Amino acid sequence: MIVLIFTLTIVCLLSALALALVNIVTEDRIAEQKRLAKLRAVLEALPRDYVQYDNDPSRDVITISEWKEKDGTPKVIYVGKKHGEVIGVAFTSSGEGYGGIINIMIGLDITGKMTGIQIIEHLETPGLGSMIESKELFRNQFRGKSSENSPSGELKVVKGRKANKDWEIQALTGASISPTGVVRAINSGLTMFKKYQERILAGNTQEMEQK
Amino acid sequence: MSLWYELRKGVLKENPLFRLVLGMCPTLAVTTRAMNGLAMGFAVIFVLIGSNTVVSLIRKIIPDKVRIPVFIVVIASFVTIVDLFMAGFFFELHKVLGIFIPLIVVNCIILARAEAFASKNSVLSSIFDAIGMGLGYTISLIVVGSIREILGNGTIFGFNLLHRIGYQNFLIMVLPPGAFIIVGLLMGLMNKLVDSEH
Repeated sequence: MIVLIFTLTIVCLLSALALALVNIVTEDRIAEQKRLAKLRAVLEALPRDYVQYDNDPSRDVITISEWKEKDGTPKVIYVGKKHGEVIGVAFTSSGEGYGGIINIMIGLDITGKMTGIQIIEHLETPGLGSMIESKELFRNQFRGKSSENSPSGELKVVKGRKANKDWEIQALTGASISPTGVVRAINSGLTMFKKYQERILAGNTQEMEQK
Repeated sequence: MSLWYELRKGVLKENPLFRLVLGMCPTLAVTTRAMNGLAMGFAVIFVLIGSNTVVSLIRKIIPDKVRIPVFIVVIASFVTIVDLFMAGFFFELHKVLGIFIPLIVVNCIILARAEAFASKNSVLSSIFDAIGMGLGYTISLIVVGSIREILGNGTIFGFNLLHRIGYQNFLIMVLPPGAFIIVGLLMGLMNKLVDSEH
């Protein structure tokens, strides 16, 4: 009996030791990779050649504690600045699609007009709903869109005809549920953004703490 | 029992996927692309070699009654190492394979090889057994992944293959039913091949 307990304890101790070593080696790299992935998403939603900021938005952030991320932590707003002035923001939002939650990064300029979006994760049907990832087929149309003049106060998906208003989003051929999920995510993000707009645009950013 | 035999058996005669029918869950889930199959296969090879080596090394000092918990701890440690290294060095791939990397812990092939082979054989044959089984699994995943990617998406390892000749994607192949259909057909084919050898 004692031998059994002793053996298991030793095996677990050795394994924990090995894992601790591996963790020390990989920890910083994983944190850096996560930051770069976030930055890539921000750069897609808030393209530098369109919104000409000169800082690194993945490091300049504002957190809003009343507005929660999916995991319950305060919402992180990535801020693009030029000469210290806020000129664009990006933040994540999510909405129900066809296969599950679609998580996106939304980019806005200070007038509330969209600068772009990036799909961070989704569970849509490969080859069909997953086309929401495509720049040419779907994502490019978001630049310049705004819910401001919309009668319902929200962006709207249209199908069967061209989207010709600045609050209208063209659905994908054969798939309208996934684009609707994306637009739902945008609408809820925009609503929350308007609520905290003043605080965000005041631009009191802090250095992103590295987890 | 030569080392060459230990290496070879995993590829054809005792192919984990098509002959032993082990590790089906990740197979069905990740093989929508050839690249995913390759990455998953390499992760499994690494874990298999690691766990087979350690299990074989400690086979004489571990009391019989606690051998399964010990095997699982060893396997889980190697899986965590793979998980951390992939997150650090192959971030995009790690994101795609997601939950299926930690789930290698419960991939039957690994525990099956530890219990059925490594706990009874020398370190060297255990390593060769691991390489053979791992290769057999990897090749199977790549084959399934390639067929599904070509038919379902018209590409192979991301390279455009069929769209130039006006191919329409056979969508069901990248959806779950496609995995069952392809694995079933290949399994039948493998059985025919191996049986006709005797």
